[in-house]
Amino acid sequence: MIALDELQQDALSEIFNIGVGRAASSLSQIVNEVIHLAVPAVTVCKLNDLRDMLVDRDSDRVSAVSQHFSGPFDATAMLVFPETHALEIVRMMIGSDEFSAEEVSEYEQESLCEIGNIVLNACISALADNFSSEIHGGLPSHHFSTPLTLIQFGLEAVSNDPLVLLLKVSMSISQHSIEGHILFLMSVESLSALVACLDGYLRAHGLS
Amino acid sequence: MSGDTTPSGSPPPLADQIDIGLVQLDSQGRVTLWNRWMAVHSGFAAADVLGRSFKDIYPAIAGQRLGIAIESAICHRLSSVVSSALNTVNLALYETPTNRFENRPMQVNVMVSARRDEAGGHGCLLQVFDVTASVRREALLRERLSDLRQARAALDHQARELEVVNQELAQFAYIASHDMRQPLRTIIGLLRLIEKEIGTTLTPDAREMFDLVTGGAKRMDAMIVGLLEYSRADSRLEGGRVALAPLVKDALLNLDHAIAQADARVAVSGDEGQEVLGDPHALGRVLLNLLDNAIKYRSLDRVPEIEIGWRSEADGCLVWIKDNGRGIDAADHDRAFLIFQRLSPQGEMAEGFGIGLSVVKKIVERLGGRIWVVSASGQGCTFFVTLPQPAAG
Repeated sequence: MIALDELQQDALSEIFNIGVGRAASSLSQIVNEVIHLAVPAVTVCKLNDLRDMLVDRDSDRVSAVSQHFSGPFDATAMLVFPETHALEIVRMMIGSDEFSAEEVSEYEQESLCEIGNIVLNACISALADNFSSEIHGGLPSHHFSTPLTLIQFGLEAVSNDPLVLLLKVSMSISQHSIEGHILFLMSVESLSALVACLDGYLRAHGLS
Repeated sequence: MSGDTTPSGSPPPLADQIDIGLVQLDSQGRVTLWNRWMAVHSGFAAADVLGRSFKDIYPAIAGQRLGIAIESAICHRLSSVVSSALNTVNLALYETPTNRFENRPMQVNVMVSARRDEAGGHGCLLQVFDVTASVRREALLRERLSDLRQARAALDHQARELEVVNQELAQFAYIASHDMRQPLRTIIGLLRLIEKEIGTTLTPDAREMFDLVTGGAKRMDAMIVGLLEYSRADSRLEGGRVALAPLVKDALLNLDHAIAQADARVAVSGDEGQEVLGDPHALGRVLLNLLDNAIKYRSLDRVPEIEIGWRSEADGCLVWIKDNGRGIDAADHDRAFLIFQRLSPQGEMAEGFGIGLSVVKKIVERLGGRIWVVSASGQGCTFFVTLPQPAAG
């Protein structure tokens, strides 16, 4: 399995923090409220390790926005929040009433989809900028599911024992703080390609 | 418009047949495709916009999420969704030409996908979806939901206020009747002493007046006791399974003396094992009151016959107490259960102050049951009471 050394982790987390910082300012502009986004940690893990990581004690289902990216490396990226937290975010952002998870309307789903889209595009855009490469991004889709279904979905999206570049993400809006994850499901080859880009970036900055 | 220009014989392009807006932009942001849907809803014919910069056609999108999404697709090859839930999409599209004149724009969601254009450069494709109807539906739904919540909150508030008022009233009735009784007891006691002192020396007229005063005081005392009882019927009731037959036996035992005095015949019929749900003391008071009434309001020209029975029915245990007494006029059936409504003329044989039945009704309703009477004047009456019973099995 590919592991990231400390320098690589720091560099990636810095790049992603630039990305989510931009996403936060876009989101703040949309909802006219101050939103903060941060990526405190970046690791690599196996898809199966995700099972217990994505949910919390409040909900056993997750809200996931997924988007496929291709370029020097291919990845299916996902922004995943525990379901209740996702609904909290969207309620705070669009000021909607308290619908239960079953009653969530198109309105909330569309909003969640767009929020995920903004965050994921910003992350990829930051990677592309810093690696000076071209990355093509498809359209996002949103779904509520269990972590298990998500893992099955990941297995189909990336064949050959996919790895996950896992980012913890914390979002805060009007005094509420919400924890979630950004996942990049990648093949071993793609992750190696990403690490190669990263090393190139570090070299270019005289850091390795 | 563009769709109409298709030469007859050849099918119109696919893009013109679908029911969403399609716009393709080249790497310079110029329009290279503008389907029929866009022409119909924007008011711009394809010929008017092809080759023009999209930003020039819609300057309002600059700096907005849609403008940024287009830029992101062309410059960074990243696709985006722009929903009307989070954004105002300033594309000035209208459902019908009339809407345009009334300035009621269509609500749209736009998908912006990065796409290679014909010249090999990076352009993008816009798919525009009309979501006006669903936005309206959602708004209506939210409005209704908020109305409902407000109505419910108002009802809850009223219920709480009523509860408080009820408690205060019960408290008031209790305190008033309790405090009123004190001086009355003094009056009755003193009347008794006075009678001892001068009872034998009274003239017949004075004696009659004295007896009227004493009787009035005693009646008032009994009425206050009744009021106290009525206000106590509001106190907490115990729940639980209670066997009915022993309660009936107890009530009859209590009335042994009255039954003997009235020379009444009492028949009891019902399943010995029948159970009901409620407070045993309160249930006992209900039975005692109803049986007591059956004896009290007997008819003088016949032997009192009283029947008490019960059976289990689908919606509870039905109890009936039937007599052959004076009966109640159909017009008075509802009035019979009101406080201080005495149906027999004053001075007639029966005592009572019109409190008993109102207490009975209050208790039965608090136990979750119902009470009603079937009767005609002079022909006796039957009181029916339903009481909750334990679920079968």
